[in-house]
Amino acid sequence: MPPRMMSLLGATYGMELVYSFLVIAICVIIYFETKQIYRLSSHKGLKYFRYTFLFFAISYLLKFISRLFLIENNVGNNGLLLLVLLLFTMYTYLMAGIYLVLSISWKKRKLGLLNKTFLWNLAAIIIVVLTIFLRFPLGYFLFQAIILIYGIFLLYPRYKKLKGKKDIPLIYVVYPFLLVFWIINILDLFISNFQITLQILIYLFSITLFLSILYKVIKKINIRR
Amino acid sequence: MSKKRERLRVIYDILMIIKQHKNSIKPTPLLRYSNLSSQSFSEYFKELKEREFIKEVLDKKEKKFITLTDKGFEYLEKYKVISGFIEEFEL
Repeated sequence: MPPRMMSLLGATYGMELVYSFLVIAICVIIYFETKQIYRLSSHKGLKYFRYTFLFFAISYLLKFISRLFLIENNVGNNGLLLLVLLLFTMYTYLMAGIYLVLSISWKKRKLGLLNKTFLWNLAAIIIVVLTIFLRFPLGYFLFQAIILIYGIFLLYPRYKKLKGKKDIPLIYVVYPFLLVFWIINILDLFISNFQITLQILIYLFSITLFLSILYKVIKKINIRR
Repeated sequence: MSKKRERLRVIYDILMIIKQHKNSIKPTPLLRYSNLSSQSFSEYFKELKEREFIKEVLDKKEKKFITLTDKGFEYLEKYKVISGFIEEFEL
């Protein structure tokens, strides 16, 4: 491999490592910061909110490991391991976005089946299996796009009611972007020659979104502590 | 206000009544002060016992009293944080 390619690959590894570490750290902090209030309230929305960040943390860890395998292009005897890793990465990543939407939808009883977690889990498993075995990543992105639209559909009427109010909760800005970047962030798992500048921009924007949520979580949890 | 938030508030109110009565109140006045139907009160009472927010104690005359546990006090202390968090993230 030419030296320039080697250094570029090294930079990609390093960047991916730092980015994954930051996202995992932020998500784990959010998960543990909200542990006490969930233990006391047993609130379903809080449970889904925590699951969102738990699943993000797991998926980013698995994604990093999977990408190492893919970049190395040295699958060899580890083909089955890579397949399992990919299955779990894609499933946990999908569920992270789904739990985010469920955290705001669960109260709407009229949504009926759309609030059933086992159905979402089942749908996620089917989508992941089809994506991998039929080599159809478009199906995965389409499913993510549907969840993004569903999330915006849930948030918009609430946002309209809040218009004119002084303090609009952060989620109305952050959640739609988080879901958009949730779609963009998985692209690099399928597209190996992603442009490095574009990748850096995606990482920076994603980190900003996660940090803004972490800031709000810490601010809210530590009131009068 | 959401159904769940109301539920958290009801739990807060019940625990607050117990606290305001020097952490010792009989079940009947607790039912009266809580402004709930007997059926609703029974459900909440069962839940609070199961989640170890309250406990039943017997005095010297074998009369039953309700008191808060440490977890019950913790809930009262954290209630504003919990409701503020739920509101902020629209949970």
